[in-house]
Amino acid sequence: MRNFLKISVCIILVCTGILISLSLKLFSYQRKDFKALLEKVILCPEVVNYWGIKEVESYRGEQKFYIKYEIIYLAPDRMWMKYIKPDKLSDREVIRRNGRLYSKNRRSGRFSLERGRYPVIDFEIKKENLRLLFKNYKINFHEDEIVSNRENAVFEIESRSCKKPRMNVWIDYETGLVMKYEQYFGENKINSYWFDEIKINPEIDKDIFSFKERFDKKSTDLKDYFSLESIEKDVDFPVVKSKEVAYGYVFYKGNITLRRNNKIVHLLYTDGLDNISIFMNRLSRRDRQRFDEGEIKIRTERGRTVISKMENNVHLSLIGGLEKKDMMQIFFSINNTGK
Amino acid sequence: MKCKEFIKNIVQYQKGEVDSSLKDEMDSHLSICASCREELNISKEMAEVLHNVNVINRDDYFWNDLYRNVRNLRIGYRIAREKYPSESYVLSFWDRFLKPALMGFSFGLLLFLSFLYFDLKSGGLLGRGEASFTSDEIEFYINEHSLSENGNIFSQEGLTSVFVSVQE
Repeated sequence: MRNFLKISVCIILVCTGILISLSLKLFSYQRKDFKALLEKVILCPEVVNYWGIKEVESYRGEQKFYIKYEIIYLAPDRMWMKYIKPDKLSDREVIRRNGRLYSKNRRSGRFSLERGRYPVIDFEIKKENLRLLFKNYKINFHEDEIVSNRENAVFEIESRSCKKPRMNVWIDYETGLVMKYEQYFGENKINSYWFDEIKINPEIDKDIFSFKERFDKKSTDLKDYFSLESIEKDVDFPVVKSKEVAYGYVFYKGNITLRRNNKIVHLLYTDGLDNISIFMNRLSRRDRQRFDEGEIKIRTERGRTVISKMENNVHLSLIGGLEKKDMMQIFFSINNTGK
Repeated sequence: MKCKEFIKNIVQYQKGEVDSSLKDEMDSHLSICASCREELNISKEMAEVLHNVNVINRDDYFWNDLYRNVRNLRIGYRIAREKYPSESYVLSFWDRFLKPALMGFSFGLLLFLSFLYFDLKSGGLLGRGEASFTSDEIEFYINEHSLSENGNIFSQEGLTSVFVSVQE
């Protein structure tokens, strides 16, 4: 009897062990699978050409924005798009070439730099961000789905810590192209885009990307800084010292923008998916009168939480899409300007 | 009598201010000349119309004042005052004080309101704290932030946020 019990316990332990190891292996396999797909996603813009019709929906509080456009992408850098909707923007053309984004003036027919500077946005995806993504988010797998006649892997990505945007992503198995994307905050959808139609590696007329570049005095190249120290050297005030703030946001890069002859430092922090921004500038004597030293102001504008304060004549603003209490946590975790 | 002579005296004839010999001559001319008859009729009609028109009679003061003002405008008031010291230049209380004061006040008010408008717009001296901070800086920061907001691994074209920010 005693031996029987011993054998039974042994069998149970062995079975449990096998089950645990199998589940672990399955998980690691899924994780590895997901990582392989993400690497494909990163590689996709470098190698895949396509033509498509894409729709974008974006919500900012009560407001909803809807855009539909035709897109031609020629790897690794060229892109042409034309608005279909909304009507007020229809037929407006945008071309990306050599990392710069140009939009066509409908009256003159000339192309000029979007926002008058380069780059409009740096969308270089760093592999380091994958590490952050796995650290800060958990991935749930769903059943495969067909979008625009292509088979897609479907993932749900949600934060491990505070209430952050949650994402559903449809990734084309063959190319790594993101066919559909939905971003939610709580139960509310905040962003989504999807392909209505798509053709992979079609014949593309390269002439559509050619136009005479107009010399624009206003355009200024935006330099990227990848360390806080290098930014501090180029401004006359101390910048924040924190490379990492609450909820896993890590300093990613910074820019210095000139506005009304004032240098504004923009620091971008990412947790692998979501970004928050810190803006800093030295206030003029006149502007200092508008703020009380150390007083913190919180507001919500266009669906983003903005927290700001003035300290040692330096104005700091934190902007992000999280809830006020979470943004406050981040705000207090910032190692401030120092003396 | 010739038509020319008849026309020359037609107004006096109409008023009955011509002597009898001339009147006889004109009467006999009228009986034979259709065009002068027509001319007389027109003249009568015109007299009738003019009789009904009200003409405002200005007094001497008006004409003297008008003359003085035109003259003074031509030579300048200061010179006129020296040249014609006997003439009175009395201005009413409205013209002398109230009118310039009202004009000055309106001009000042206009200046103040435009200053206030531009100052509030730029969040300057009068705008303090939250209200002044709102518009410009926050708008700029949010626009900059929104460009980077969707610049994550899944925005392969990196453009979604740009398009949305164009609309916003």
